[in-house]
Amino acid sequence: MRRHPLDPVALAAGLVLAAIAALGLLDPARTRDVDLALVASGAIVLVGAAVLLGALARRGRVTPRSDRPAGSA
Amino acid sequence: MDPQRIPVIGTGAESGTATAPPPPPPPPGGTTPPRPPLRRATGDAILGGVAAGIARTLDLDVALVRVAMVVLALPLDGLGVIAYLAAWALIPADETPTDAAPRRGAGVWIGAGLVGLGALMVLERLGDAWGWGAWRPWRWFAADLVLPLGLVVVGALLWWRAGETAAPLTGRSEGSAGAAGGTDGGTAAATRTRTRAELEDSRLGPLSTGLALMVLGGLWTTDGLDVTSLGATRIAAAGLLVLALGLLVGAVAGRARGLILPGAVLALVVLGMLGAERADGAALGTPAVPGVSTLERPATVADVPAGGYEWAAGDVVLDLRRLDAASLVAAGGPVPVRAELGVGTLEVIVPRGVGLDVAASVGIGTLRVDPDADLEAEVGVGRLDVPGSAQRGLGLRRDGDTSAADGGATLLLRLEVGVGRIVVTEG
Repeated sequence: MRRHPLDPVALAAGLVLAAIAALGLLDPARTRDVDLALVASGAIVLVGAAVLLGALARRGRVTPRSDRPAGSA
Repeated sequence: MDPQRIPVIGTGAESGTATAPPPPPPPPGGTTPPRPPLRRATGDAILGGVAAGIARTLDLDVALVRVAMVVLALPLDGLGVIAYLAAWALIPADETPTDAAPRRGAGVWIGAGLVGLGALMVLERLGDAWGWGAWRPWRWFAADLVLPLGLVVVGALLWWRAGETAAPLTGRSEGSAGAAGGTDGGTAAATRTRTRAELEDSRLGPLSTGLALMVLGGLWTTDGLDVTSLGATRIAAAGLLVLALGLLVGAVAGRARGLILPGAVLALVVLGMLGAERADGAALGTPAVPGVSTLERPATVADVPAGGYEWAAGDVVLDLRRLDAASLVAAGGPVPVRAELGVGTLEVIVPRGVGLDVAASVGIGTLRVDPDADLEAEVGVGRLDVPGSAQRGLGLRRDGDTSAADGGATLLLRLEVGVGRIVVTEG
């Protein structure tokens, strides 16, 4: 598997999903005080922010002409 | 160049001229052309392209194949779905669309679905008429083993196929190898090309999905066999954790953004289950639960409405503990109590020492009856938890004798919830 530049969307989504999974795996008595609605809302905000940042970062890049198919020149 | 002078090359199907189309060449050896190999026709697919691929290989109408698959899957219960998923995972894809098997759209599936639904209704009707009892074609879905083991198999197939794609990935990476060389030369274009190739070809997605399915199915199986008692929430959370780890690995190596959608769905399931567990815990707490939207506590039999209780939605506690044995006998016989709730939780607390005759149904959700009772229970989708039996799945049913009242000191509970929970406890 080849390394590539950090993918912020995948990272944010992975962290959020891992946190929710941990919430489900832990003893319910220990997580009783966690506000599930707040967790869900925060997850949506975090993933949305990552998607937004990723989209803005892509817009900032210049698409090289060499990306075009060879026959289109 | 004049198009009419273009020489005809190949089969003639893809070239030829407008004025004199050449006849198709005779098949080699003078025999009928060989059937195309079985491939999933994803270009004509509605789901995985399995039916379209079979239709293309066998030169049949794809609509007929789809209807036949649905009808043939019925006697196989849930195994038909698993067989389709296995075929989806095993048969390689061919994205070339074909005119011979045009896409029929939603009509085919609506028609096939109606045929399937009608066949189910006929079978169930025949079952009642011919004394098969409560035979239901989909009851295998409710089994604690078939579906989870199917998940394990499909997950293993995904792993296997992901391993098989290693060679094409390497071969395809010839372009990306050149691009990688360009990366060494410092061009951004090469980096983008390499990343896109990995984006399309990464095996991380199917590997993570396969492992998640195996974890889900494996833990579900061990729970079904009573080897473990993790519960649905933890099992779903374990599968979610696998997907999350796949995403985290994919953030720096490989690519697995496709895991976000199934992960989000599974996360919602986990959060929903956690919320339901908490609500269950609250409903099973003290009778006068703080925060319940409705609390009914009839003091005498006369306080129970003759037509029963009805609520559209909410969390309801129906506390019947004041209707003790003496008051029931004094009322002259078994006392019926009807309660209907559209959406929400209905907790019914019954007094100790009285006979119970319960007929309860939940459309989607959980039905739990703690005390011993003459019980007739039905759950459309969800969980049925009664003394001596706990089931999950579709079309759950517990047939009992609710016709024979035990005498005067008996409560006849007739409970119905559309979506939500019914919990009957003894106070």
